[in-house]
Amino acid sequence: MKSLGLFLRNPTGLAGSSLLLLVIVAALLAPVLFPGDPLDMATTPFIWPLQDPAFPLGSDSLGRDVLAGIVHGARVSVLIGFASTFVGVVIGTLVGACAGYFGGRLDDLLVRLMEVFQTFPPFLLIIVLVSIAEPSVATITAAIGIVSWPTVARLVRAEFRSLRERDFVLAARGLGYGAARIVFLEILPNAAAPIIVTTSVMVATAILNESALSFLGLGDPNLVSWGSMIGAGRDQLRTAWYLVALPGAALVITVLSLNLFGDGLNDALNPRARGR
Amino acid sequence: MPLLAVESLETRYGPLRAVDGVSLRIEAGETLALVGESGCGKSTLGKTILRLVPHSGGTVRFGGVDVARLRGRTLKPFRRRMQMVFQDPSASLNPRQTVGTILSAPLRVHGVHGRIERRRQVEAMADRVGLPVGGLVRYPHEFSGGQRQRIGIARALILRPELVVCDEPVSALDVSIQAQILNLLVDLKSDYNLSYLFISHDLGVVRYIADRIAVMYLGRIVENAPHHSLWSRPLHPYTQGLIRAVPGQGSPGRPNRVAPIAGDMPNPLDPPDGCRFHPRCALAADICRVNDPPLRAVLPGHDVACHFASA
Amino acid sequence: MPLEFPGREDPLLDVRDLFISFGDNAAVRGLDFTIRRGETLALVGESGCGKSATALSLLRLLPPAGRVAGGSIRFEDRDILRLPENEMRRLRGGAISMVFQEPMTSLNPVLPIGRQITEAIRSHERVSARAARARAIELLNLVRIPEAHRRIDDYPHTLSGGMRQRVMIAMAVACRPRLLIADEPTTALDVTIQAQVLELLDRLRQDLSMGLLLITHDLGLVADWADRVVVMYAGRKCEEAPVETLLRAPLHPYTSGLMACSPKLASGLHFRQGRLPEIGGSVASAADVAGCLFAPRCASARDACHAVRPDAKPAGSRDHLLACPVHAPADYAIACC
Repeated sequence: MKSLGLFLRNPTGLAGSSLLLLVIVAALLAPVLFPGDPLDMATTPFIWPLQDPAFPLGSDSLGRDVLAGIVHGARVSVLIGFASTFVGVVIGTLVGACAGYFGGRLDDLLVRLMEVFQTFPPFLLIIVLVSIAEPSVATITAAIGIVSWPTVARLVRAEFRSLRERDFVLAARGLGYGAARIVFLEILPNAAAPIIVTTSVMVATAILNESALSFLGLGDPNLVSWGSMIGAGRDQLRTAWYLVALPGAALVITVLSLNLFGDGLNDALNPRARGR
Repeated sequence: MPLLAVESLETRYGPLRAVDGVSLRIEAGETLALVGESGCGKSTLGKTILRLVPHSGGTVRFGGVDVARLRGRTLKPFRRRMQMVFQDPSASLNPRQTVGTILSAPLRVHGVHGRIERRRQVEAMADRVGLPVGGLVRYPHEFSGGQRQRIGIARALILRPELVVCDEPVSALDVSIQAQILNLLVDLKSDYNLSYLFISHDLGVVRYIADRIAVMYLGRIVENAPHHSLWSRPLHPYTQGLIRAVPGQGSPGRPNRVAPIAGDMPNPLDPPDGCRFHPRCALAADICRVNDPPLRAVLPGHDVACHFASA
Repeated sequence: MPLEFPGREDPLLDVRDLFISFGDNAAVRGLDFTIRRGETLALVGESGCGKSATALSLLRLLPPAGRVAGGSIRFEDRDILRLPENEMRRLRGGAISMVFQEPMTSLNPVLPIGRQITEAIRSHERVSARAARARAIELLNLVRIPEAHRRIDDYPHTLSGGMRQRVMIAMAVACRPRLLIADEPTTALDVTIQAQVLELLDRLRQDLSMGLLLITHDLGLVADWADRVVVMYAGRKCEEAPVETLLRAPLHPYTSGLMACSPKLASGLHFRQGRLPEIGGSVASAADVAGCLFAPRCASARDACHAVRPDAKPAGSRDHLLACPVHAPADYAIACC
């Protein structure tokens, strides 16, 4: 495909996707590379990085392997990041498509709903939702997804509002196509590019939100996460700063790679930027 | 019984009466051309008849049934019988679908079962409109403008409609391609026994293609006549001006360099009182400023809305 | 000894052997033409024939992807392609000006029309704001905008398409250009307005004794308004002649095909009586052709047409140029040697 070729020739997109691939491979291979629970004590506490070849990134106050924690943490970040974004994109696309395509009163109603969600500070809403339920991967995913859908809904609504006026949609109506067919088969593929681009940024936001939750100790207590590692390491910030810096760096690299990936996608998929 | 009978049809966009009390009929096998300048409501009229734009008054009888009242499931069978060819083929074809999908989806929606049967019909239609074999797996942007319009025509005809509304089907095309498409439309008309509502601003094209011509100005029909009568004796001053404004009617060495109609189209939100054409009309008298002339038969089958028109 | 072409003695604009390319695609492939003072030359052709690229190259306004790959453009005594950019800027909107197809997008929507005209004046001449405004009103009167003194403070969106095109024309002639390029000036306008705008352009051409380069796809307009015609196909000139000659006796098969295939009011042909003559195929077929670019679509093409690309040479009379050996009159071969 032309878009794929453009994407692969774009240095930004290529850098982003390589880094992202690294993170995903680490997440997938975590149980193979570091079998056993990363929350178990593995060695003596406070080994600094590059001191012990068996623990290249050292150990924390409880003697847990930092590298194992980071690699397993990637699992949680990637899982929650993608799953919650999936939830948000599905809800947002459905709501936005209905609002944008049908317009009228349904549109008014759905726009009000989006506004209600967007008046809450998103992170506060996540905390409230997670506190109501037991914190687990599933509830955290749902909470972040529920908070993120209005962004997608607004975007999809705007795309649909302009696309529904196009002649090919008029032609589809004239051919007697049903609303579902027009929305999903005629319009949605034409709105896919901006949705995909937004998705990559949403994954980054979701990963940050999950980390923030875990940092505050509101994450799943049975799983290691970059956020909880930073949270646990902050007491030793003066004596063992690497306990905060290393998971922090992992977070920064992941979020950066997603943003670069998104920029690359935007350049490749945006037809207005093409032609140049 | 005419195939299509439109009675006092009205379409409003907010305060704008884009179509303002239009009546017309199309007999089976007839081509009626709708002529006028941009903003006269001709395209809206076509879309209202096809139920692509909601009407705000009047009736649209197709085969005796008022389709303007139908909704949902009862409307669908009529969709199959009335189709549209759009002006801009690149905007009216979904850029994300292959030509094969574009042509087979209408069949699927209207209950033609079996992939093989649909494929057979799509291939036959593609061949009939002159699309290259093997073009079905390609996307619209891979075709030239003329080929794209062939795709648009194939899509309109795949359901075997009786009436096709052609909205400026050749105005986006190059001159050398226009004749190809017009000839194709003529051939298809006799092959499939079609009736056309042919919307165009190009009188040269209309002269060739139409059996009957309705001239629109500011949402109204001002003249409606069979082609021999209209071209030999245009009766409305607006029709006369339109005809004279077509460039290239002088003879070599004696070019035609006059602007036959002065002034601009009035704001359609605030149409003039009386006859809507009076501010631009050379014949306008006091009565024109006050009384809106109704459409009346002046010659056999030749209606005109002008106080001064006479046989 | 080179032949004396009429108009070559003292042309206003002299374009020779012009090549324009967009990346690897050739848009114009060796074009010659001249415009004399006070004359209307029509450049006719369909989309992709290179007529708009030619127009833009005259002002050195080709988009970044396009470039003049060869040839020369002389305006009066200046070599347009070698002029420094600051002198070129003075020339644009000064001695050479242009009217575009789309009056909706060519005007700045957030400025009143008067401002836009006065800026056009003051970027070329040192005049006071008040004098410029008076000139602007004069110009709006000249292009027959009713109540110009009131309309001068209106914004473009309050004007109709025809009015906007008049404003564009007023801006274009504000500094009394000697050459006006009109690129499809009426294509976006209704037919009754089209006649008004062309009448205006023609009157200005006479009053200001400008050369007018009229770029169009409409042979009807050409018949009514042009003095001479250059017919282009795929970046090459097929035929050039005074308008009367061309209308009476077109020689190139593309010219005659184009004249025959466009349905005309006067012909009186109706579909129930006969088919329209067609030119088969599409211009895409000219993409990789060694010989005559029109040969793939030409009914009378011979083997030689596919091998040798013909140049435009005098045919019949000195001011009738033709690039087709098949349809040439008897004296063609002699005249070219």
